[in-house]
Amino acid sequence: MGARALAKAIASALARQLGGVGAGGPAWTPALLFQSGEQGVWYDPSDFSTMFQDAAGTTPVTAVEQPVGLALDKRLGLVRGIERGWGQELALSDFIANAEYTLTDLGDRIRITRATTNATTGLVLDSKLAVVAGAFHEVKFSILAISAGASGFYAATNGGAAQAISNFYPGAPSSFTHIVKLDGSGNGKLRLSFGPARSASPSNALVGDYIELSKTISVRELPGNHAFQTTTAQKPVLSARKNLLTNTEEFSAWTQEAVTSVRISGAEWKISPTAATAIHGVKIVPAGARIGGTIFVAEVKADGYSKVSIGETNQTGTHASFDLSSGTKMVGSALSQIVPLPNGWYRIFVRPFGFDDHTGVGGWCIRPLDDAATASTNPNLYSYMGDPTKGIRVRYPQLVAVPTSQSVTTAPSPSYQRVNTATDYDTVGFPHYLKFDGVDDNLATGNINFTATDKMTVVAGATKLSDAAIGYVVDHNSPQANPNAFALTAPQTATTASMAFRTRGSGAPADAVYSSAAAPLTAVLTGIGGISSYVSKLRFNGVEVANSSSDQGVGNYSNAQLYIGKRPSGNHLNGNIYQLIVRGAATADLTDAEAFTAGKTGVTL
Amino acid sequence: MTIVAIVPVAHIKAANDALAESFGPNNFSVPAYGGTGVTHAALHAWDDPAFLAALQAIPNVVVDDGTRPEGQPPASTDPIIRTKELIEAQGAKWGAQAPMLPTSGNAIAGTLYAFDRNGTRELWYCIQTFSRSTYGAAPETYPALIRRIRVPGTVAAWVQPLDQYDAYKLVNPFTGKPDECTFGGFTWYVTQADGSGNNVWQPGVFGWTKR
Repeated sequence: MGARALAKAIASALARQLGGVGAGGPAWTPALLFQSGEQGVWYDPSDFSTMFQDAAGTTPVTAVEQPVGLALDKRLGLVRGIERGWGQELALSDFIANAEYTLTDLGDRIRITRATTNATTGLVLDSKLAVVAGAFHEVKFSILAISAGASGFYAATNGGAAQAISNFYPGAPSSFTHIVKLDGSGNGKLRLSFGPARSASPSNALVGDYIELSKTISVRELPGNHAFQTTTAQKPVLSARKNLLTNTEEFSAWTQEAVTSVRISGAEWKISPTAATAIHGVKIVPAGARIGGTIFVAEVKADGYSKVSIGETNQTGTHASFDLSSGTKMVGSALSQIVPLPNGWYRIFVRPFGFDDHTGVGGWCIRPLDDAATASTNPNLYSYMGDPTKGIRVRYPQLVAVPTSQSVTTAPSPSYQRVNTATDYDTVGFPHYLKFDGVDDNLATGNINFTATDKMTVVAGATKLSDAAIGYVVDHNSPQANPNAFALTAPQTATTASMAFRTRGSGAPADAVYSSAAAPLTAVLTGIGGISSYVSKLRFNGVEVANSSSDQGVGNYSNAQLYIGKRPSGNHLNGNIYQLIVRGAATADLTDAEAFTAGKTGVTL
Repeated sequence: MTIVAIVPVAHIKAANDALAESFGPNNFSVPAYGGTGVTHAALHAWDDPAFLAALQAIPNVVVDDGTRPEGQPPASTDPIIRTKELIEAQGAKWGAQAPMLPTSGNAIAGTLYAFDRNGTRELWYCIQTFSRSTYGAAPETYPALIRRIRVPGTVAAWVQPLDQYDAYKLVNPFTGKPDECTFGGFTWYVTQADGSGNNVWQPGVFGWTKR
């Protein structure tokens, strides 16, 4: 099937699946942007079924904070291609003869037994139908039995080096799925190797070791421009973490500074000073606090003491103090505030004056204050004789990153996220994202052929956590160095509050730079490129904020790898990607794509 | 807690080879620089006990798993801060985080600077403190004050090397491959060098082959 015919078949399948769009129809998805066979990608970190921890697609991502080595492109609906393997028809004659193994037909399975002492590679099968060079293929098979002491061996190659090797445990029959990216060479067949192994190698298997392989082995193309990363240190992780605190419902696990923390019920705690003349409070060092803007939010209520301070723990750090009897702010930055809630509770927002890395100043603290405390009291120096029968109630603490330019009063109250540890936290209802470390994390596709178009649309839900160094959200053919290329950057240049879309043909790059976007910042970014039409635009949360109409030269875009989270020579993104759509075409109406991405990113357009 | 690690340039290949089978190629991929070029390669990885154990078993690799002695401040959880601290603890500089070469005031000796040349980011190492207000031309104007540091693996326009330190390498110790450059409208790679593996000749004169 040719590429065009395949695209039509997939579009048709999608149309059948989706049943049309409109009133009463199913929800809009980015797959609809690709119904006419447009080249591109759509990655959706909220969909666990599209992510694997390894580039070989062996180990699915099942929870947050797991690495992502393979992200599947959803634009074609993940519709598998035709069967290129075996149904129930795998026969002994399908194996390439090898005297080092013996084969036995057991009805529903074939036993592969090690016969000699010098076997090395396992017994080999070639796919039944020709595979597609350069494409991803999904291989499914089942190991039904393994002899005692041995493990199972599997590898796949299209004539070059093995693409994936796994070892399976004795006595643990299972079904397995691997996703294999073929290179452009090979003999037109996907070559699969199976056999017994020991110590992670088939050459260590003993004579008589065997595996029993189901006769059902499936090999199907998995169309799409899937993104992968084979190197452990360079894999992003899946995350849904928003609250930078830990132990948010275990105040007794916070550092107790002359206080006692007692759970009242659920997430509600009472913090009481000890009977000592001391500085009283609970302290915590946030995990993942960043240089940039943050807000500390908690709900508090008087319970004997009616004054409370929340702030950074160093003597000169930001703090704000509140009177819970009157519901007023005693002292604090203009952006800090107190909002009444039912039953005597207040939600307190504390916005730092400065925007430092809080890990460097010992973290944050919540301090009950006695009645003598005033607006001029520095809570980090304020010592008083505590009454253990009195205290304050606290619940739902959180520290979240917000843009330095965003005022608390206009920011929506962030929904509370329970965080126990760095890997144990609430995920339902919180946007999922790929977290890139700004050091070496990235994903890349194989070559994506955009040579048939000089129009480009990129829609990304992304966070940049810092403006200190240049970061690339996405890059195709590195427009910094090469013609006929495009990229989305955050920031565009170091130490600037910038984001930009860059596009070029044979000429110089045309940069659409938005310069009022200080980190940390989460937004829907849309880049629009048109080489011959001299179009380079950047939209920010659905609004055009920058454009360049400079001459980009001529030609179409290139056939090159798409990098996600860096460009080929570096400039790693320090931030998150919630959603990414790249479409090799002009998109007349961006409303649906931007609204969809905003929903997945947790921003309001 | 996440992991940062660093290895001297002479041991990059051995360290990456040791990790390749189980953890993929080129885990140490972040170049760190001294006054004469790349001195180390670093990495940052999210929490992975198996990877940490493998790193700790490799000779010459310095690993920081984020644990700190009792009484010490906790390690930062910011990957950038952790990586920068480890690189600087080896006396090296991180090119990706290099500040821009100032256009006024002093350039400070021992600092690695970034310099933007028509949209291309270059690295320059300041040998001696000098005033950019006085010496404000392009940095190559002042070879006694500041020297260019080539970024391994990049293909940029050929520049006449000053000495063995910025000579093009037959085998670059960071990439394990010949250095490349562009010259006369072509991309070239080093195929011959002196006895130390250095090539200081212009492409087309000696030791270069067109790609």
